Amino acid sequence: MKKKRNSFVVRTVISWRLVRSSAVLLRDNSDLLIFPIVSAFLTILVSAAFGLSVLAVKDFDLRALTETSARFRFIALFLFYLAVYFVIYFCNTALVGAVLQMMEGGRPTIRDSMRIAYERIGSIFGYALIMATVGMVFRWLYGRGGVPSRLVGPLVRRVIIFSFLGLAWHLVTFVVVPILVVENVGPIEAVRRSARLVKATWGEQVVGNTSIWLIFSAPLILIAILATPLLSRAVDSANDWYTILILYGFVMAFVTLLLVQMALHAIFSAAVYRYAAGKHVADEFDETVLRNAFRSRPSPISTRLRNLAHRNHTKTTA
Amino acid sequence: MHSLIHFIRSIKPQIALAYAGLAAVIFALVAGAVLGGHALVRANTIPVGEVRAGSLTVDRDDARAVDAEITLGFDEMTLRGGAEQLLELDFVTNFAEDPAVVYQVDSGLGDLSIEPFPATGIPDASRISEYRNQWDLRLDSETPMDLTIVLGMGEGNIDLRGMTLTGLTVELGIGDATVDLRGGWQRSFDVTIEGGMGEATVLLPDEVGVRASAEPGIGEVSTSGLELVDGAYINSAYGVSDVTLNIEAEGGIGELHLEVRDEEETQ
Repeated sequence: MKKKRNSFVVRTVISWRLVRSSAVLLRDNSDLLIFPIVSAFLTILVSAAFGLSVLAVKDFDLRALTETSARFRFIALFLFYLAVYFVIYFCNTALVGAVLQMMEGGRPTIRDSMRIAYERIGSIFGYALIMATVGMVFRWLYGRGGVPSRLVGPLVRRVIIFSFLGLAWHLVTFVVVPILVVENVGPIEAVRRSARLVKATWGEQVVGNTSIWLIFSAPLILIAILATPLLSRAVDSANDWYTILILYGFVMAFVTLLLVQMALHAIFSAAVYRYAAGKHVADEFDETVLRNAFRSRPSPISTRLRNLAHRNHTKTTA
Repeated sequence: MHSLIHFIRSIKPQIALAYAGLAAVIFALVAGAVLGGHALVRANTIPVGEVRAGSLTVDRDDARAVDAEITLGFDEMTLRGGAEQLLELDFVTNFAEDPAVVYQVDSGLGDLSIEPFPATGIPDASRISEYRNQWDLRLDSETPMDLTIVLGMGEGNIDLRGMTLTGLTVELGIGDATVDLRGGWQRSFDVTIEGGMGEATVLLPDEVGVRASAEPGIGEVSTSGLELVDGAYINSAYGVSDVTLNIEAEGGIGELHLEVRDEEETQ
């Protein structure tokens, strides 16, 4: 018997429900933001360490850096991609692990989530290796000197074609991280499984991803529109601290939006995986179960503050 | 809005602390980049000095062919063949130093580059219109040359007639430019024209074949004396002549004109 396929309208409704439920989950469990924050910290750290290492190799000679061989640039860029992807996917796995546990009614802690990622460290590294390789291939395809870009032709056509290729790759690998968490398979098998699941849910993925993109694009465009004249005025003023404040304001607005978007994206990927795997449909995404499901250990500072407040309150009452 | 307030209120102290830490690191990075960048610019800004004239020459040495990259940067340049040495340059400038010329020969291949000032120099954006950098540049017509010309913010009158080119790349910038490729070329070569914001005219020969693919970009590409066949512009000598100039032209924001003209006609 032929399997009945959902119509586009049904797919759209399901997708919006999944996005909405993901947003509700994030709203009620803001602690989940710790993972993108850690990811951002580590990315900055890795970038700084990487930059310093490359400079050290060239004896801190900036001019020598511009005259490096193509092989050196290739290896350096590949290692950089690998390190950054590893950090991002490690934190993403921890986040998706926490979300999937919450969807099963669990109450994970940050430590539980990090343990999930740590137990899959080999697969995460393998997946980072795949993503770094694909990143380099895309760079080569997109680059002016590459044979494919010469075949494809001018800039506008290159941008359109390779943007579609990038989008297709993004969709194919969209549920790799949830698969790594739940099925604990190797990275290549995870990509294969993700591609198979995509066939069943591509409509929901496209609508969901586009919705998330649209939600965050509006403020990002607004930031860009505001940033251009204000920054130009700040630079013209020749006042360094004024420039720093304006630039910092826009960078922080951008980073904050990006952190929330990264978290929402990861939650949505977990939701799509469960939906595709047939474990839950959007209606069964039980918001009351998920509300405040993420248990965070109180920090030493907040515990001390709470104890101090409690002591003062006891003294006043006495 | 209600959800956003709920979301912000629900953020626990340890998350706020982590976010504050990230914000502090980003502040340090932004401040470091702005202050460090500004200090670097101040230390390397090229001052606007007295206007003076000078000249430079470069001997070909034992090079059988040369890769040459000429970066004008500012103001205007005329370039043509017919030099007795590899390069002869008369310049009028108000930079403290003469144009930076680097030339070395390795296994018979010369590598020539010329820039308006040393690569570490940074122009003062607020006084950009005050810089004077006028070049009258001649290149050796006999030496096979793969030539790259970067105009930047300058204007160029580039007459390549009679030269022995093996390849040509012209990167146009803000200013206008004319590139004269007329004449009876003896060998085929590839030409890349990257359009800029100004108006550029490329004069093409009628005696040797021309095949041009032109992509307009945001600006406009116009042709004269060329026929559109299978997506490429060709002249009447294409397919008849043994020599072909393969031109790839990318329009920028400005206008790019590809015109076939008789060599006798003036620019």
